[in-house]
Amino acid sequence: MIVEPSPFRGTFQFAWDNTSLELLKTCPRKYQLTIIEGWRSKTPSAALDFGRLFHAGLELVDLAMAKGDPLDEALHHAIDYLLRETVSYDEDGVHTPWVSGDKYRTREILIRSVIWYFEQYSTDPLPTHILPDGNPALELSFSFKIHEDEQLGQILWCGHIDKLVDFGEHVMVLERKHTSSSSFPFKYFEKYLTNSQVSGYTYAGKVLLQTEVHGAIVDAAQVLIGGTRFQRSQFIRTPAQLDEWANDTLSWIKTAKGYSDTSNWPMNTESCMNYGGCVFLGICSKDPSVRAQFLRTHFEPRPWNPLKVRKAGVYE
Amino acid sequence: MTTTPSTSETPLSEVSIQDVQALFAADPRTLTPEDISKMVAYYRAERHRWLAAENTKATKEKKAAATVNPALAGLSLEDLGL
Repeated sequence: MIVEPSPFRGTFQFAWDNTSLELLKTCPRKYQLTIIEGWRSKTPSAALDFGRLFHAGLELVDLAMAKGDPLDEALHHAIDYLLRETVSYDEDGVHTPWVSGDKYRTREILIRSVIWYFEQYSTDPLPTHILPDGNPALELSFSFKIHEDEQLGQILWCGHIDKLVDFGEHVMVLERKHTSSSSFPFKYFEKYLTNSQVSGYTYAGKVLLQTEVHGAIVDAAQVLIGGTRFQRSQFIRTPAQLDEWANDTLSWIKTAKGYSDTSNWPMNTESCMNYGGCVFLGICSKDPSVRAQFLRTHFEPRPWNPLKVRKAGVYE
Repeated sequence: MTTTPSTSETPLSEVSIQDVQALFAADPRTLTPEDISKMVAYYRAERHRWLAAENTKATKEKKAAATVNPALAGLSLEDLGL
């Protein structure tokens, strides 16, 4: 059994990724429950499950094509994987297809969206960047030091870049997202103007490649009942913006150190109703004396570890 | 107990929604490469239909936006005090 190294010293996280950082910014209490204590809801999230599967499907096609498979063969491989991932079997071997409970996130829409993505961009592909060692820049797990001082010790920035692409003369990070939002495409894309994942991955791309990475290209899919719409947008980050991101990130990590030192992770009650309501609303709204009991009933321990290296073809 | 869908004789150009629904209902372990080819063919054809419908909708919306409101048709700048 492989034991993953811990990203914590006590309750202070020294290995950070974008998921941890966004949770801390959203609500320190949500960060404490999710990242430090490792609680995850027992109730499946259609958006998270669909996103993970959509992502996996696209990545499997990319990987197969990088090995030289033609598109149709690569699609077969991905579709076969997705179909198998979205059924469960009872003890008699009878299968039950996945039902997400969300009309926009079904098995059919998942498969359709993967096929349509490659149809959409067949005439406008973004070539995978080729690394100096000759390998395609796919599935790049990273973890490197971004800061060290006496107060914080060594701080690592971690993550997983799916793909670096050549965009004209530039190298860009490719991010692929899905949404069922009706604000697509114009309002939907505005969030990426200052999005910390775009900045943090651009920063990481520069460190990994030792060359200029200019920003990210976001390919977003709007999943609808009758079809899937796609839109591609690019988001540039200047060197000064990346420095600003690094400074801001360090400020947030220092804030986390303060919470950790005082063992006090305050609620940000302004975030409770964002995106349809926080998953911990039913916990934080209870008297503190009974919260642990409710947590154990409705959540399960599934720790998040930014130091865990993702393996090709394993999508958790 | 699972059954293999009976769409193996259907030409790719004629894959129907019923064929695809049968494939989705089947145990994925029983699907053949030909079955997956049918899914791909069906959704590619669906995309052409969707894009055609989207284009028609967009054209109608453009035409509607370009149509002059009859109540304003006879007005001159002078009528508007400009």
